[in-house]
Amino acid sequence: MSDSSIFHFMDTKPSEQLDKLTRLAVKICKADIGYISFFDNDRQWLKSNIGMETSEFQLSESICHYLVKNNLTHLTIPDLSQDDTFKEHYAFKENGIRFYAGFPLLSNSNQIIGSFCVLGYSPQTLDELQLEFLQAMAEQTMVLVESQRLSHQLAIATERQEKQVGDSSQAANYYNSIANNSTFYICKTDLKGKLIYCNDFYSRELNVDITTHPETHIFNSITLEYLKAATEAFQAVASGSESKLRVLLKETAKDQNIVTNLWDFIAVKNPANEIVEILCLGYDITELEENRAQIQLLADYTAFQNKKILEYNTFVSHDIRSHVANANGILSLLDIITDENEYRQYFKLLKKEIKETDITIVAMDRMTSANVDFEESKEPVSLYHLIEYVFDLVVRTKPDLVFSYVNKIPENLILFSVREYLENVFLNVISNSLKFTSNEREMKIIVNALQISNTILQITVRDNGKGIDLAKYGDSLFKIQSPLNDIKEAKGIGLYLAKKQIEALGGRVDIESEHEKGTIVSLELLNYEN
Amino acid sequence: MKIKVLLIDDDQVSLLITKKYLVGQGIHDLVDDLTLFTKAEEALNLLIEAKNTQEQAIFWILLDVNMPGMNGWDFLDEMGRNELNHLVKIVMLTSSISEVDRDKAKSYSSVFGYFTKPMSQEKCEKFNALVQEKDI
Repeated sequence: MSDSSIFHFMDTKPSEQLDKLTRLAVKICKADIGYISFFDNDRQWLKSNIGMETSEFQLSESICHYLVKNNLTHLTIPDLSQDDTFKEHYAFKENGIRFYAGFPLLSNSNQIIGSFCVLGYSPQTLDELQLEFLQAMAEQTMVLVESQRLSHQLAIATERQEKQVGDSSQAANYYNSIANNSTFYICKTDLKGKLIYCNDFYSRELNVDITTHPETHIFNSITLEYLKAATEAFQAVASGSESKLRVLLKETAKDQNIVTNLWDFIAVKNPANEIVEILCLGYDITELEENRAQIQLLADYTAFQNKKILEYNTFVSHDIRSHVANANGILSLLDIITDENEYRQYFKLLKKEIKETDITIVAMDRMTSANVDFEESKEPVSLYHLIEYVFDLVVRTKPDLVFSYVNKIPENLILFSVREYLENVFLNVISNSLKFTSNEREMKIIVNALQISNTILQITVRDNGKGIDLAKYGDSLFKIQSPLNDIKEAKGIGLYLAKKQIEALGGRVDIESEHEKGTIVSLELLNYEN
Repeated sequence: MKIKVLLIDDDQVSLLITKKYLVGQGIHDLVDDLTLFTKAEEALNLLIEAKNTQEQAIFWILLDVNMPGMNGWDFLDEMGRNELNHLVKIVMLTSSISEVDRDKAKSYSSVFGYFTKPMSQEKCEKFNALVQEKDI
């Protein structure tokens, strides 16, 4: 391969600068044709061409071949037709060329790689100045070619470098993106836990900057209660008793949020098999933990619902069955008695049992539908007047009960609530108080209301009764199967229903009691102050 | 030794039915006394009194489970707590059809039977047979 191939000049685009040289040479030499050619093996290719029909021909057939073959400094033929060597040459025979003057293009190693030539259809002898000019043009061509070669090489080098830079930066980006991903914490520490490296995710999430705080330890962000577990696991790996340990830790993240992270501590050894560093890989599983907690909550709630269903079963068993059993008992008695009056009395009892069964079923229906959306049943309720109404109802239902009450609810307090539920709640709570009357003193009930926050109204029903043994009855007070309520016709659903209804209204019930002092039932209800 | 029968149930109608059957089946020929209680606490007081006065009597009790205040289970616990078990022989009479309740009743040594309501001629005969078998 000749030197010209490394110039990468063959078959390239025309060069304006070289064409200027060729055009000038044609003019100065009063020639018809001018070209700058390059050789490649047996091919001669015209990089610059003024007046030639073809831009490529076989080198062996070209006049320029003589320059190469004889390693000439130049070749001038004033008239091909008169020259012994060239009078039969196809340039003359075929193309009518009479005059030729060519200078070689020399590479740095003085190899002829091309030619600078002028040709004419008329015989001509160039003078010394013209020859000197042509030589200068050939040399000038090489200067240009060399400079173009250099810039070409530079372009290639630049391109290669750019590619390399591109490749390496791509690789760097790739590893950076792995290291600084937004999913895992990646850190390296010394054997005491001091951070040597941490990825962006760790820095960002746990608010750590080891460039400004080089003494940061991996334990710094771990919450106190998890510190022992963390150091123990780390020590086990750092001491070599374990090669890898996984431990779940809670850590204080940015904005003082507590996050749950699952960490792997992995011992990193040097070629001498000594542990030199600890690689720490962490995963933020806070969301996972929260989901788990929510599932737990859901499971608890389901368990709670199941318990309620069980209570409901007991309720059905007790309340409905007791009425039905009574009705059955009376029916069987009707078969064996003969006395007319007794018969009539039992028949009345039977009617009563059937009626009470019906009431129980209605109450049951209300209870089971207590969680149904009732927003549309809400209305403005004057709490003061509602309490008055409830006490009035109690007095009328149980005229033999001796007690007094103080209604301290502000008269202008209006709740947006379900009146029927509220009535039932207070009826049950007050009835409950009256069941635990002390033998020492007359029963007195005080009802009060206090807005304890912007949204919560606390209503207290305080009595001076004998107190309820909460250790004994506390659990069952709000259960369905405790038939504590003897005011309402249906049995055993009083306080349970009250609690369920207050919960349906978005509130809660709390009970405090002291032996021989009295009982305080606190009802907290959603109530927006304004 | 006297034999006394106590019926404990908060439900008046149930008490009435039970008493009617017991009397109809000649309970008064078998026992010395038949007393009705709507509150278990009152029956407990009577038993404590009987123990304190060293009354020479055995008490057969038909006991309901679901009652306000002291329920049937509480009453059974009170028997043990007050060392009254030697005085009493108890038969449960309840509207509960729960197996859990039936098993729970079996765990008390003072419980000799378990009837579901209502009282009937057949159950009454069984009760009488128990009283006769154990104490007469």
